[in-house]
Amino acid sequence: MDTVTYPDEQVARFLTDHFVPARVRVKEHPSLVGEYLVSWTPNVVIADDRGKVHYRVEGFLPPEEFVAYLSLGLGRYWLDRMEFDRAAGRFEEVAGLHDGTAAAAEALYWLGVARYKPAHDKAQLRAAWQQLARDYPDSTWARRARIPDVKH
Amino acid sequence: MATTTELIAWESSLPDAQQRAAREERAVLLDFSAAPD
Repeated sequence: MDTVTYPDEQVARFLTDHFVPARVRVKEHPSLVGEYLVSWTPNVVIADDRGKVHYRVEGFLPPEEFVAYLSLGLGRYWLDRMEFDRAAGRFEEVAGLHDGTAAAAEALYWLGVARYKPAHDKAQLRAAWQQLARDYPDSTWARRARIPDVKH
Repeated sequence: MATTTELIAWESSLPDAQQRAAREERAVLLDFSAAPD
């Protein structure tokens, strides 16, 4: 990550524009390693100011893919905080800019959720998940997409 | 080539990062990594 991904300007810009970045050297902070359940590095955790984890990226990723997952993780962060429009905006961006990738399939799954949640509108959920099934039929996210019968 | 430290301003500690995140209503990105060789 230090030799390829973090030196990339797009990564640095996205990271600086959207997050407060902090670095944890695992051997120097064993208590944080335990607290955040880090079994392997590289391990990037998106958390809130109270330490609650909202998303995690494990393993090396090249710059463009890393940015896609950071954006996806930011969407999950906003979704957890019930900022549905902000979350949907992130998921739409990932689905659009990273078309054809695994991150885009995951983004469409969560886009359906973010659009459904404000008014429990199943039509919104169905629209995003139909696009997911159409564009990424072999993805794990398409298999997970089933319209629920109950409100969440 | 520019280095990581030139491009990304990492906070020096997690408490500092969390305080800034609260002020700025941002998420914290925690990079867990091995120490450089």
